[in-house]
Amino acid sequence: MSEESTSLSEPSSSTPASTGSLGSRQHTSFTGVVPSPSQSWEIARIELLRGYRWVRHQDFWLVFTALIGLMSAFFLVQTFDAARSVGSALAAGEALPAWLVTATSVLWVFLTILLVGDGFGSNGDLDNDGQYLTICPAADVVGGLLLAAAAKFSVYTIGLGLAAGAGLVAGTGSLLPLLGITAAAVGIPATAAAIGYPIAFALKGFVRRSENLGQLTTVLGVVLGLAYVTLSVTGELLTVVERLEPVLQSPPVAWFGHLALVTTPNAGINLTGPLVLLGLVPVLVIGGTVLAVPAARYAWLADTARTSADEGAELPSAPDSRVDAVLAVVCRAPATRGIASTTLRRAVRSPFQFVFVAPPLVAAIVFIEGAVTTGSVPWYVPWFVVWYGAWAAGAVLPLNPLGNQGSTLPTLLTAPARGRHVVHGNVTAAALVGVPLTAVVALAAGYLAGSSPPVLGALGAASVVAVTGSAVVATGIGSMFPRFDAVSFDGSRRAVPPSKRAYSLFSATLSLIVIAGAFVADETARAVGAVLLSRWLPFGLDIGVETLAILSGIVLVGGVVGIAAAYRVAIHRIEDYQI
Amino acid sequence: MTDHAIIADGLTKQYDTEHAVDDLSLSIPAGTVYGFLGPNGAGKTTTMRMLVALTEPTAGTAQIAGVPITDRARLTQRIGYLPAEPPVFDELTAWEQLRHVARLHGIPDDEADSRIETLLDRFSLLADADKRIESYSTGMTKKVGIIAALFHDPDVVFLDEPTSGLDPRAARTVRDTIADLVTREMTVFLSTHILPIVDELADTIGVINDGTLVAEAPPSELKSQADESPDLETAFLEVTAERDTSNSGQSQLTDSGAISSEG
Repeated sequence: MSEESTSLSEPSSSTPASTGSLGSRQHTSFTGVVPSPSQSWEIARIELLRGYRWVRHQDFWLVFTALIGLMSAFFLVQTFDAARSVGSALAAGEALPAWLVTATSVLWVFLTILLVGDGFGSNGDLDNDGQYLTICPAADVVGGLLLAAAAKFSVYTIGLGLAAGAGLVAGTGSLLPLLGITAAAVGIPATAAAIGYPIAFALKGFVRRSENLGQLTTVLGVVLGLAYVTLSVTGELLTVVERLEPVLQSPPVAWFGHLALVTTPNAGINLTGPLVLLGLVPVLVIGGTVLAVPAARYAWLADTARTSADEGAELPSAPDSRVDAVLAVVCRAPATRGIASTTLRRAVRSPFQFVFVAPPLVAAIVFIEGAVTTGSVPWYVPWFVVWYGAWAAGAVLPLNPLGNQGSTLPTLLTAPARGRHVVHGNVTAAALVGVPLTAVVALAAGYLAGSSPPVLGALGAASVVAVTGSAVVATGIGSMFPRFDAVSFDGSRRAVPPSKRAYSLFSATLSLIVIAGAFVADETARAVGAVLLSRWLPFGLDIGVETLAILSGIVLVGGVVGIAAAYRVAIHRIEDYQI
Repeated sequence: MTDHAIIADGLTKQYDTEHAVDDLSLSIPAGTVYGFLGPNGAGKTTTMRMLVALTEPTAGTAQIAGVPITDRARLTQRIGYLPAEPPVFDELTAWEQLRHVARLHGIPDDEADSRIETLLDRFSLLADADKRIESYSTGMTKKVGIIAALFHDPDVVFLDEPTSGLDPRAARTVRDTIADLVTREMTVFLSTHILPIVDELADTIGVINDGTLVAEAPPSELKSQADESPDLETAFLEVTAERDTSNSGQSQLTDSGAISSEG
């Protein structure tokens, strides 16, 4: 056993450190207010190690991280180019652009807000509070969490700092810019964590004690998320930054930008601000950490508000819901109704499954932004809506009919419910939500795009057929490639995504069918498709509009056959499934 | 109903070269409790999964209530199964969960609701029946699973660790329920680590070790076979130790450097 673990196994004490060799192994917290650096470091190390292993063993997060990495690489290249231009301009005697200081201030504000969210969420909680809080003071744990948070979020400043620093070095021909950039890259996340986490802990404690706020947390989170997306899409985010510019250009926030650029030759930064900030950073970090300790206790030791129990209240009776009333009309077999009802309830109460169908919505942001700025909707947008509605309806629920059962799979397989009940239940659940949503949005988009009445009719019919058919196809493909491993969003929120094979095969199949449907129903689509295919096809192959219509018709017939085949496959697969 | 509720002949499950269950034969009369004991990893769950048609045997046959395990559609109408991990959706309330299972059994809501209410009351869950299972304790979740396995009145019920995680009062309720089931001619296949339960309830005890049925006898007979003292724990330890010792001996013969320490 190492020395380190020996010291951890010693009983916790809030007494001041004693002197001598033993004292160095004793707890060094100052009456439990100031964290012990060694204990905090150990806790931060374990937090970061757990976080790294958590991501490494979650394929979903690995893919997400890779995508973000790709986008970040593009952004970093842009940053490098911009910084090199600035460096060259400075070397040529031009003045430092004001936006550099604003951008650094925005980065600090952005990180502080992110860290408030991070601390307010599960990262600001203890997974092993029964262990940690009985072997070391809360101060050490808080120190560890703050250190881990600052280290995690320094990824932003290190990446941007490297790109900006390299650009400035290339532009000015001097290595000096790296000094200021490094100081800022360390100081920004450290102070953001020291300010963000105490706020987060205080908010958490307050919300936990409030019955009403506790219930509104999710709603508030969604509202804030939507507000951010809306501001981004409409370009109003830049307006907000412009409005805040006087603050962002003034001390003390502007000092972060000044610190980053103070060592850049010819930048003309006054030394006062950076020097004051360098003195303030330790004060902020220590002060914020000390303040975070009582705030954390306030959050962690809160007795969560509960709805007061009604003495003598009546015992619960059989649940009666509108979903069941609707399903009673649509489904004859109790088993089908059971599957559909449970699937819908679980989706509403634990909506993390919807995260897996969110990525294509990024394209929707582009469409909406285009529609807002140009005032028109391109002809293909309604068809994109049909494709997305059908794809999402299939991918969110029916694409993993066995895996979605989780620990209840043995109950399903040892019950008299047959495969067709499972398929019907999943398809009903998907169609009940997916068809009206897709039809309404597709028709609205078609109307705005100026589609003719026949095309609008085709869009309406396609919404019904595509969503229902896609749900059947998804059940077939999903039953062939089930996945049981859940993806963890944080410590407690988990969802089982479809398997990668099911996801890919289903997406490719559905895209082919919907594109074929668009070619058959929409003349413009057909014309554009013929031109594009002639351009992309190898060996100089040319395809005319009529040939494309015939081929699309064949694909659609194949799709209908495929739907029937998927239905049969799903039934047999579910009925014969062995654990 | 045949005279024997569970008949298995040479049931074997092999994963690659390893035998999880090896040549297991059972003959369990209807209306009795069969206590199925064994150390961790001995093959208890695999055996139960084969008997309820969740896992296909590599070899051998079995019939439950006269239905071959290869005929899952008919078999599911005769059995109830409680896996070791309670089969529940955390997002549902207990009542919704049980109604879901009732629907899977084709039971109309009205009929199911009255039965659910009775059973929830019996297991002291009625007051919390409208709360989501995610807020339940381990014992409460287990109780929901037990009710789900029993309420459609199967001919044969397979219970895998039904009392683990239960407080003494709840465990007593489960024991009383099992005793009550037998009076209604239900056959109970009970797998557990808690020896006093099988000692109290089982008509016959089977001990599986390393995939092989190493002992099968009524509790009193099994206890009398123990050398050190006539109790079930001693009998269990001796029966499973004998095989471990022989395995260990074989290991020593085949691999001079390795001695099995499994105990």
